[in-house]
Amino acid sequence: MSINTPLYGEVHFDSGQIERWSQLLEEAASELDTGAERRRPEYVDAGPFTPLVEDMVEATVAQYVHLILRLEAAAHKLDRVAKAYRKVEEKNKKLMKNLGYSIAMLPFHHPHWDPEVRDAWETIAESK
Amino acid sequence: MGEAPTITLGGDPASIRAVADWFRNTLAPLVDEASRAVGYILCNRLDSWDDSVGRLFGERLSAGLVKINQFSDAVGARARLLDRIADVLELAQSRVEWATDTARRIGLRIEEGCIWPPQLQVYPPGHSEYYDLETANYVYRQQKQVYEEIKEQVDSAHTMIREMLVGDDSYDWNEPLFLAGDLVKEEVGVLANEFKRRNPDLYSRITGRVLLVRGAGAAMTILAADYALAQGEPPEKVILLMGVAVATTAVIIATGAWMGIPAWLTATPAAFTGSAVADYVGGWYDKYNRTALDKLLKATPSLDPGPRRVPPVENDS
Repeated sequence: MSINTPLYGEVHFDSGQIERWSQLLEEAASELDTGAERRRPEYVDAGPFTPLVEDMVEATVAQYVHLILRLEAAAHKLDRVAKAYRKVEEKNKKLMKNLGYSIAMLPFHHPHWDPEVRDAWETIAESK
Repeated sequence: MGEAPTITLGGDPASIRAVADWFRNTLAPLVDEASRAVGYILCNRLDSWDDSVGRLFGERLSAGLVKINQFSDAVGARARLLDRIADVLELAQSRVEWATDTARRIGLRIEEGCIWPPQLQVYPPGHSEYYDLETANYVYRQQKQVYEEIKEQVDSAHTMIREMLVGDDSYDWNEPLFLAGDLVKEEVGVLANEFKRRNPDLYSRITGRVLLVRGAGAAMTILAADYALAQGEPPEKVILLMGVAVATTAVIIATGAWMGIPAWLTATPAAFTGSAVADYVGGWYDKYNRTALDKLLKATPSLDPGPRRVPPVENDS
């Protein structure tokens, strides 16, 4: 959907596609989480190199876990944005069907920008 | 032990290679897969989401993609370093093994993990007859010659180990660590929930404090968390420290109230004390947090490695 809004200017979005990205990142995070178990060594005995090897493994695991957390957070944000845009799309669809004009043609304080839709836009704006 | 060559050299090179294999054939491909997912979204973003928020999201995601690729390279480089460590350990062990076998064959004393130098012996152990002085001298000289070779081999094995450990000290394991704002702007609640889901053991120890964070619900807490995250602190550390600060503050205010002191009088000292306690806990966290993560995977026993120099790693990050 492409619209030119009074407050947010020209915007273009596809809530379905944004939701699929969220799923893609969620799957990537999940795969990182579960896949790490594959071929994971049960122990390591590095003899005189033990401190060095353990330090390296610890740092790598910490970084790996952080990557999972960040992908999850990105997926969550995309999901919120997709839901908010979906509300706008649904409202617009109703307006087009019942009244024959787009939500973008209305000023932001118009009653058809009901609180739910306004909240949706504000959710997206806050995502900055 | 004196100058006696030490032959205690433990370790299992195969187990080190197994870790290298895990890094190379499991972790690195999974990180690459995540990189492809992020790259796919960036390639298609403008077609499906073009507004100011989408552009900012794309910028963060792009920066995060660079970090993911750096991490993937780092994992590969560490796998190569682990292979080198395993090779060095194996070679050192084979030299020590040769030295031990040789010492045993020529009758040198092996005790307390050391090969002891030969001595002139007229009554050698294991022989029914004594040597005359000339024979004893001859045997001693032979043993001494082989002993020098043994010593050289064991010394070279130890030198190999030392050179591997004491190399370039410029390498920082944490260089590719994901920091605040990589991939996405922080959402403390999401990170806390995710952390809880993935790390129940560690999380259970700080759950009480996190509940206090939620109970407090103060905008100040979130602002402080945002600030700490923006400074590059790991999310789980921020969650922990915010909890400690709020808990300490709450206890002081509650104690003050119980003693009849109004909250407006105790609030400021309570906030300062909370901050100081959080700083102390932060120091503790910096020292132990990676060991805690290690416990999460139950890979190795806890070990505080302390400061050390490490060998160079080529093409890392």
